Amino acid sequence: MSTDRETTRIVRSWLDEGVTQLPDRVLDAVLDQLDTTHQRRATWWPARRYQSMNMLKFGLAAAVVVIAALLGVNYLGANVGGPGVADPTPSPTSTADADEALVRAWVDAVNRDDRDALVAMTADRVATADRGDLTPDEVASYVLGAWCPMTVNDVERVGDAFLVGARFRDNADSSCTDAAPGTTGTIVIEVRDGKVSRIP
Amino acid sequence: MDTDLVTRAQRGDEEAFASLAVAAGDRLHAVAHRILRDLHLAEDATQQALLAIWRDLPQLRDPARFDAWSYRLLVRACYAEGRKERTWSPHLRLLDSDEPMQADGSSTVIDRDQLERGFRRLSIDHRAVVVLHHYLDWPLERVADVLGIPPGTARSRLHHAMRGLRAALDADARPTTREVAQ
Repeated sequence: MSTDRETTRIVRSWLDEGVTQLPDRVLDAVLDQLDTTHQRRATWWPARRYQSMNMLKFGLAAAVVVIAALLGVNYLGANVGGPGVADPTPSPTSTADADEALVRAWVDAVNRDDRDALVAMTADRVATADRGDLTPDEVASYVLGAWCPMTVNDVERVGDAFLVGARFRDNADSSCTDAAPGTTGTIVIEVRDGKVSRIP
Repeated sequence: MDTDLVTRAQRGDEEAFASLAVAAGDRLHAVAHRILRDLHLAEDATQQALLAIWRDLPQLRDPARFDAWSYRLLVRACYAEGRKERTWSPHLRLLDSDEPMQADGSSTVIDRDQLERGFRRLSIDHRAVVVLHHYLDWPLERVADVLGIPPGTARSRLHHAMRGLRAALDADARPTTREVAQ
């Protein structure tokens, strides 16, 4: 009975055999058809350059108007409320920075397996852009692969992010990651705005 | 890859594209042949991919990604050719007489034959992952990126494909009924 490594070795050796050169007649046939094969126009920058420039100018003008309006509303609001009325909403920048710091702290705790710093697993589901609503286990399978033997240890919401900490136990056939076969490790997955990504 | 050539070809420079095609043709053909396991289908797929590259080149935003993008178009062309194969191919292959053999002259050929059969049973989706990972030696993240699939899907496909190929090899290792009877 073949082992995984032996199978991989045989398959790699088998794939290394065979043709590597494209016959000239195929290349000639392609080049002969260039004149009659029209290139599709770019749907991004070059073809819409001037239109984009106009859009950019319009967008900048609109942004200036909106900012001016917001400043005006804030000024009027502050005067109506009188002195001593503080804005209870923190600035977006400070919220984002705080979220980022929490995410990083959580990732560090997962990697250290610091149980005190982690929140107990919840039964939340999270919306992804291309797979719909997933459970934490399904999020981990989405990233690690359905064949990967794993345990989802930790799940937490931090700000807008949904974090999943998963531990894979074996990596035979590289079914979990590109790490060496037999590897055990921990990964952290983030779902933000429906996009699933692995946090390094 | 010379990004200047890519940029010039994007603007319709046929000479620049010819240089790109010469440089990319062999590697694309080699991958197509390994996915499709048929020389004529691989030539057709490579030809279609090169024409698609020429046609869609102006839509490539980052010339530095030309190589990865060209492989994506090649795999698409292989899907199209693979569909043709299912409709008529008798799934026969002649072993070249000058293929190297092992000392006993048998096990290598048998392995190849079993692998050939096992590989042909895989879908083009699975074959593409095996070839990009094990022939081009790409990490699975890159394979997933080029094929436009999540990394987990790429791993699942690789695992499934390798399991199938291993089963094909093991099937040959099992004794036949006659051997057991003896």
